[in-house]
Amino acid sequence: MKIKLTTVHVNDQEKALRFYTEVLGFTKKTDFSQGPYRWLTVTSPEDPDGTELQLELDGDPAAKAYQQARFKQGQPAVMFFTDDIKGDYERIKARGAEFTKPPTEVTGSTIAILPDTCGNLIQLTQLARW
Amino acid sequence: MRSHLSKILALSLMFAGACGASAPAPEAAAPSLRAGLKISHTSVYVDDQEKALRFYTEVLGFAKKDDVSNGPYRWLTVTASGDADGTELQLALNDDPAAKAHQQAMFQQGQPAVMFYTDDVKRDYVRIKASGAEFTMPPTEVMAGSIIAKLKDTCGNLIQITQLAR
Repeated sequence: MKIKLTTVHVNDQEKALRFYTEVLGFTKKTDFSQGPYRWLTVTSPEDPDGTELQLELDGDPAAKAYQQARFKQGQPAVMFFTDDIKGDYERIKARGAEFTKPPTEVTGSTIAILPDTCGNLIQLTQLARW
Repeated sequence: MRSHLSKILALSLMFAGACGASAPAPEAAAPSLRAGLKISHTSVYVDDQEKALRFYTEVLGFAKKDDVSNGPYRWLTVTASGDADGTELQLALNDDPAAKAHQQAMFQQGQPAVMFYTDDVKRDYVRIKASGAEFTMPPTEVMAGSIIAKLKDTCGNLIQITQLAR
């Protein structure tokens, strides 16, 4: 069995698709609708057959309550790793995203946090090289 | 070990709570030139990490990857057997009331908390069942010819195994 999927709940799939592709730089992979349901995923363009991030519509009340609680608590809903957090910060910021935490050194790594405009916080993490 | 330590510290921040935030929409968006961001982790909340580790390794067949503790926090991940550098599944202790409420609602509604892909769902069904797992849905063909099965992870979640149509 393969671990190939992770999910983030979003309050608007179209807006999320724009943010995750045009601002963050992921590539759309699968976009499949059946009635009101839309299965929508993105991947890293450097690894198109790699793990997919599903942008799932936040239609379920329990999921929505959880998403809102995490956001209010300042907890990221999803985390991405990078080898160049400052480069990514500049690139993403230049595309209009607003960071709630610019690249900040913490013990052992550098992290940055930004809202995804669809109800979530995202954390970028660059592990320290030793 | 040091990279493990840096990872656990970075990751424990995810659950420690940071600043509150508002979410204004981004304005202009240019085409992407590169994405340095990697989608390399997913997570599932479990009510008992030790029990979860046993289930995800001994019953499902994953391999333990990271296991680092920092005080009460334990960063615990597994990967697909034979793909140690592949995507990691974090078995996160569910001690957050909001996360717990969500987990319980998903379970009651029959919604899987996590999904795995396979090339042969029937083979996995037989193997996992023989290890003692309880399926709530045996391999069942759904739309577009995919076959899915669902089982309990014994730690508060339903798991879906999906074989996509050829």
